[in-house]
Amino acid sequence: MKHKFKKEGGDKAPKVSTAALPDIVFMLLFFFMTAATPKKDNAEAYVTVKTPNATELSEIKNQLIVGNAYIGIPKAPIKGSNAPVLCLNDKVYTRSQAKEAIKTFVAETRKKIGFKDAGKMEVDLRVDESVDLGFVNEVKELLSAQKVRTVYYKAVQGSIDRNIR
Amino acid sequence: MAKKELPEVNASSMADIAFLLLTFFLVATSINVDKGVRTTLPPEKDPNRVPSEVKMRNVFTIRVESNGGLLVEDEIFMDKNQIPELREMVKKFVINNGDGTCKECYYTNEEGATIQGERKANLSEEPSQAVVLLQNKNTTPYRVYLSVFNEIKAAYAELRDDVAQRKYGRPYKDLPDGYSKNGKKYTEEDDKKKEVRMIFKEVIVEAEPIQ
Repeated sequence: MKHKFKKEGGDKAPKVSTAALPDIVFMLLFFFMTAATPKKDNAEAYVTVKTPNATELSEIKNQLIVGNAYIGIPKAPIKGSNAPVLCLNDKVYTRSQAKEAIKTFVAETRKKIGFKDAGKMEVDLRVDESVDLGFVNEVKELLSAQKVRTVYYKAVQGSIDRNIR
Repeated sequence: MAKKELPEVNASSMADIAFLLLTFFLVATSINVDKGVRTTLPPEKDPNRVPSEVKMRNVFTIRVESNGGLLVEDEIFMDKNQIPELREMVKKFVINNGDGTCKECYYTNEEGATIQGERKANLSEEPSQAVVLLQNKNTTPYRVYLSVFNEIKAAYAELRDDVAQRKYGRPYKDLPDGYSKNGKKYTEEDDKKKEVRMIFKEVIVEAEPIQ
């Protein structure tokens, strides 16, 4: 009889074993390590870049030899102007500053890549769809002057109809 | 009655489940790859270099105006919403087969019809001679330019896919690239990608932007 009443508080539910928790954590760790590519910079804090659509995209195979360049609308107006700016290594440059900026950018990126592959440097160019081609051409020319040969126009996989509406 | 204790849950198989999930995710997800429209920049201007001579018929000129309108081959005006039509035009230009020596100058279009090179007098003589000249204005919107560039690339990609399909029965991207399985030894003979790429060599020249 006594037993019957005691049951309420007496028999505790068994503790859930946490032995597998580390496994789960490691699993997640591994998963994110493989799935995510490390971020090169924090450009989205400075410029808005919405790339146009394209269908003929090629993979950027070797991320180690790639430098990221952004042409977009500044988040905070520069000298009261919202004209497109260039963003390299988390620094914002106006169009008139582009020449010096690209020179340093290419030199710094080459240094990061290392001596062996410095000459193979490629640029991942992310341009906002509202930008005029003149600025893009200027950047391309400046990159060419620094002997960069391969450029990827970053684009969203999708029909070009969105670009030309 | 003896005191009854509930047995502890056996957690040793939890690790197995964890590993199973890990392997599943490893297999099921691909590493996030960055993609972009690839282009090669021309070398820096050299005033001493003599420009190579190209016959007018081998050049397909596309001029993109600042409102996004196009002028193709100096005679056809196109609105920007007609840009997708460029793809067929470029394909026809490349496989024109003006001198009659090209054996691969045909393709199957979307409706399944075979399009032969028409041997027109104002289009290219031979695919390897064909050059697409893209002329822009500095005020051309970037998104229009990229669309045009994309269509030119798409035209070549489709021609290559077509050749790959009829010669080797698979799309261009699945052709062997000449490297053996361990990725060390390269034999040119096995580089079917290059072979197909050389049939339709993509030459896109960007002219100095007009003001």
